[in-house]
Amino acid sequence: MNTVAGMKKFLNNHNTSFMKKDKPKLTIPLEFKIACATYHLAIPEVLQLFIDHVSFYDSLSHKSNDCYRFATNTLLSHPHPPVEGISPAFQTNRDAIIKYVREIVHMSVRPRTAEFKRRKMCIPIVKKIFNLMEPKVTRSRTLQLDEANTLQLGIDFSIMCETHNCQPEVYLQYFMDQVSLPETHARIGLHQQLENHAMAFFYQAITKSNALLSPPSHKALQIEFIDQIQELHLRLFIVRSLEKRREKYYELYDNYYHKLIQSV
Amino acid sequence: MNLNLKISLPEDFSMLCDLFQVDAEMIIQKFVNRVSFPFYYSRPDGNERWATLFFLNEIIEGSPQIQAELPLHEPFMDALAEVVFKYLDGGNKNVEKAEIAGRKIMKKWHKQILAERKK
Repeated sequence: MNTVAGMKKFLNNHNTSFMKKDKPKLTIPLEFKIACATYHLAIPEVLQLFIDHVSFYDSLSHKSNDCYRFATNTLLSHPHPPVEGISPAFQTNRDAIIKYVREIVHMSVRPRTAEFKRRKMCIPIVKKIFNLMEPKVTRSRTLQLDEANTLQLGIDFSIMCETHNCQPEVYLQYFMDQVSLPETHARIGLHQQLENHAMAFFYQAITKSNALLSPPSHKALQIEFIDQIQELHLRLFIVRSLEKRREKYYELYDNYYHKLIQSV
Repeated sequence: MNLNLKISLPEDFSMLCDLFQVDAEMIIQKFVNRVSFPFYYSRPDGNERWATLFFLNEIIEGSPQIQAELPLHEPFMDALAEVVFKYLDGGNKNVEKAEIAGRKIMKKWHKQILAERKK
């Protein structure tokens, strides 16, 4: 970063300390909180699962159709500013890294081998790349989510950040910003679903996470909510505007979320 | 409008009618009386909402024919939604007004679709 841009950024972030001036701050969107609360998921666990399923192998091979695919595609669909030439992290050991990337690509077309097995066979090669790179944006592999929680950046996730020279927080924010149950429901009823890898990953995370223990008072709220949303799907048949449908679903989810957090 | 219905009564339904001494014709009549968008949408949480919800559940997935005609229906669906939700935002006192306004739209809607189908 040049000095003028750095100074501007520093001036814009005058509330944060000098050391933290480059770190984008994670904001957990309300709709993400609502989605996690609805399925009794712990936010740090979902984010960690996302990090753990981003796969460097899958960014080179596009054959899988599982949670690795959805997490990796979420990251790949981020509108990155183009990196000119090779990423800074790979410059010193450029040739060796390119050789290992080729090995992975070669492995990805290995005949008579299941995709999960190919991914597994590439783990040692991915580790070699990780050891050869000089991290710029993932120097610290521990990310402080809030006062009580940290996230650990995996090897693959770190490599992906370095490949695009993009801060890990940016990807996590991008993932969270796309998770919206009201948006998803509003689109399903209109048969206007968009490809949303983040949402696809979130749905996979529901079955992979440990459900949080919820107080018995939540049970009644949950039953009431399920009744309400089932009726809302029907009631909104005549509402054809995406925006208005989204608003109605949002009202219901928001209301439910507030009842849930108040009854803890 | 009268319709001479010929429907078969499944055993489960007949047994229930026998057990609770419910007249089959009467209960079917009661059901169809309550299948109404203006009635339902003007009191969507009312305890007589189930007949219309049953109907909505039947059409919501949409047969290919419903899907094909949706662009024709949509302006009227939106108009109906707008009018009933506008009245309902004003509270319960507007139920009757919402129902009347809704019925007006239904009539226009019906007329328009029948005319389109004759084309």
